[in-house]
Amino acid sequence: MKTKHGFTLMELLIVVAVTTTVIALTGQLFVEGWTISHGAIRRINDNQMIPIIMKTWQKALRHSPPSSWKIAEESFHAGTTIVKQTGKHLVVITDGKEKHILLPQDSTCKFTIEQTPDMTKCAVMDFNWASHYYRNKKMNHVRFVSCGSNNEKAE
Amino acid sequence: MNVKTECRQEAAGFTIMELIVAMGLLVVVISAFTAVLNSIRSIETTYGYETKSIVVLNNMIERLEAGKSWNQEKVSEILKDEFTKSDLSDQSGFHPECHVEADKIYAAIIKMNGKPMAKVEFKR
Repeated sequence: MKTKHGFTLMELLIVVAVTTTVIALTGQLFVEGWTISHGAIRRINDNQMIPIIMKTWQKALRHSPPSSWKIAEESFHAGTTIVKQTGKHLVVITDGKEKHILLPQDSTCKFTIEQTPDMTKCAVMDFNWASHYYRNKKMNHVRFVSCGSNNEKAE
Repeated sequence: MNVKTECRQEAAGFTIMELIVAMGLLVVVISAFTAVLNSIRSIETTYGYETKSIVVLNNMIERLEAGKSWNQEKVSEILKDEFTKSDLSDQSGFHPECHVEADKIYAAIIKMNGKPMAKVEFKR
């Protein structure tokens, strides 16, 4: 009985086409998977920074009365404490000592002083940052409220 | 006597069964990989909402502490105000909730399935 050895040209072409497709799809899946998981981990890291920024902001103003607050040149002054954004960092200067906190990508900090309906003054830091996804990006916003050291009422 | 023996040669290449098994395994591996990716994204999204919910509750506590006195109406009013000012209010399925149980006031951010995303309780 005569047996067939090897592949015909057509079989070879089909095998090469199938193998190439499988390798290409697997490669693309791997790259997308890597990008998605890497992006997700980076966004989780950014989220981890939020409570740290919130705590720093509230701690910086904890011992300052609202009467000592003022906003000048995009920085917040609370007595001897200054809070400002310098590029990628949030800088807290207390009695000449500087503390730098690395912010998430594309972050912006904006400071305001709010008066609540019951006439309590609160310092607010509006914080925006970008979450980068595989093909797009989404802006996030949180606000951090700090009401200072006492129940000083606004005039 | 001349005995002629015939040796049957093994077929080269894969059988259809082997091919199906290999493709089945590939599908299982890709499904598992996709499921893991979806889980990572889901965890990350939930964690993001959780962080924002905690910030809302923290702002509420900060404002309550600044006031001289507070009750359920006050907690509810500040919680709603902080929720509205956060970008959680743009997400469907989230809402603030404040209720009294026995001697406690509960303030929470509720998610789509009715369960709290973040919750605080105050003793009256």
